[in-house]
Amino acid sequence: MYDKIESTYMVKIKLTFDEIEKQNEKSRKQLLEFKIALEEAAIVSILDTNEKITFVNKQFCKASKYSSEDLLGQRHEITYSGYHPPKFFKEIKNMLTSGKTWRGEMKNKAKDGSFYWLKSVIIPVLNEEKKIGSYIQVATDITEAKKKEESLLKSDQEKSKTIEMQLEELKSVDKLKDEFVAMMSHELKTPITPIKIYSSSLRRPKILGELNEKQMGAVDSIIFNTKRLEKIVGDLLDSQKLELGKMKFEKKEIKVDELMDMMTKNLISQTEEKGCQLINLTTEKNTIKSDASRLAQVLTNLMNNAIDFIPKDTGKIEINAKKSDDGILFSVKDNGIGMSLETQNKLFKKFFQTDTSLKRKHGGTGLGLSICKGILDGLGGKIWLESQEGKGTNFYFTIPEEESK
Amino acid sequence: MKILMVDDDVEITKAVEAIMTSVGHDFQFTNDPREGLKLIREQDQDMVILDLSMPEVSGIDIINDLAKDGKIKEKKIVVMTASAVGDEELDGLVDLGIHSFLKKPVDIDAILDKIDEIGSS
Repeated sequence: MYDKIESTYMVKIKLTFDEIEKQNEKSRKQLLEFKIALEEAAIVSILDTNEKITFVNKQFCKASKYSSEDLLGQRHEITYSGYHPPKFFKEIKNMLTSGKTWRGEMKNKAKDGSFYWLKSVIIPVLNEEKKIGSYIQVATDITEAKKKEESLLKSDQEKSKTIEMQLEELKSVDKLKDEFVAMMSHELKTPITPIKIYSSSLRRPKILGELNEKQMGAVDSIIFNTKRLEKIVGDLLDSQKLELGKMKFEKKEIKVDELMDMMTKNLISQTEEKGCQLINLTTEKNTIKSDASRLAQVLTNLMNNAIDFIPKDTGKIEINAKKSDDGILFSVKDNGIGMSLETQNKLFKKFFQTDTSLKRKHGGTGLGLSICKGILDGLGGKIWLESQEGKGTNFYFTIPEEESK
Repeated sequence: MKILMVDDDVEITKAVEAIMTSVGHDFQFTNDPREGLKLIREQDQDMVILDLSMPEVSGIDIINDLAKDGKIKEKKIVVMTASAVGDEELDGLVDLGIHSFLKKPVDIDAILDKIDEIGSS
């Protein structure tokens, strides 16, 4: 009877052993599969609680260029590059000892001194007593990607350096322009001042003595031509300033009707000399915020042109300033010889002059209208004309009422 | 009249001096703004012609300095200025105690008229 019981137990035990064997086989197979996968895909190492290496896979050796003999039993600092500060490793240790998995990027040093970057996951593994028994590191080599990142960063830094240098250069060129304009203004204008002082003093007998008629005539010519010179120098400097973008405008409240009154007063004697009429049609009382002296400069220019081109005795000039959709609309209309479409198209260009014989009187540099355009551009306005040969010319310009952006 | 001119431009001061002495005024000038400030303080002029834009020490610096003394009104300071200075700034200078302005570029007729104006007041 015992034999029978014994054999039944034996069978049972054998069956259990077979089961266990089967399970083991299954587990062994699974482990092998995992091992193969990791071996191919990742860099793996295992540390004990003393932070010493107990296992490295083939990839680890490949990346670090150490053999497994070199590594086993060594502390993990063997692959340290010195790139990360101590704080970096303290943080890792804190995470791991509190049972958390650490994920991050680390720069390592290989046996030959070269560097490689790893994207790692470090897992603290708990043993039966729920205490940390080992640390498993699973990583991938990201050295190539890191290299690309570094070179992009470098080129960005280089780019911003180049931009900084270019900015400095532009600033110094701009400063040179400022200095050039200031110097030119000063150098060209200052000799004219003593000439004017002496020549106007010569006209006053009490100051420098009495002059005979011939001498007085000479002085008059000096004064007249000095005025012309002043105008030409002024035009050249204005043109230069506009070209360099260095013309400054002072915007203040202007009573438009008073401005137009002053213009009429200034130029009426010249029109009357020619036997012509200058009529100020301005009735509206408007106020604008703009540069009065520059506006006067534009009006003077347009009105002088008109005086030149109107016929003697029958010539008529009408000026006006009234509200419009684009701000204040100024106009200077004449019944002069007018101009062809071809001429109209070239009118605002620098140095362009129509029939030069007519323009001599006002010292034509051909810059007047291009300066007017430059001033209007700077003040945020527009300038244009209507003209027909033989019928006359109307010049218009607008000054915006609101401060334009 | 005893007149002092402070302007860094040598040619202008020379020209004005020639005119002033011809007319018979007691005319002094300096191209150094610091010397100008000293002369204004130490001497008793009937009129001072002061250029605003001078390098290093400008006319405005000189005016501010003199305003502290409190005697600036007596000095009859006529300021010469190019149009670059805005009106608010000029009004401010009047508040500090200057007499009046002359526009630059300097016009001999305007200077002589100004002398007559101050002389008769």
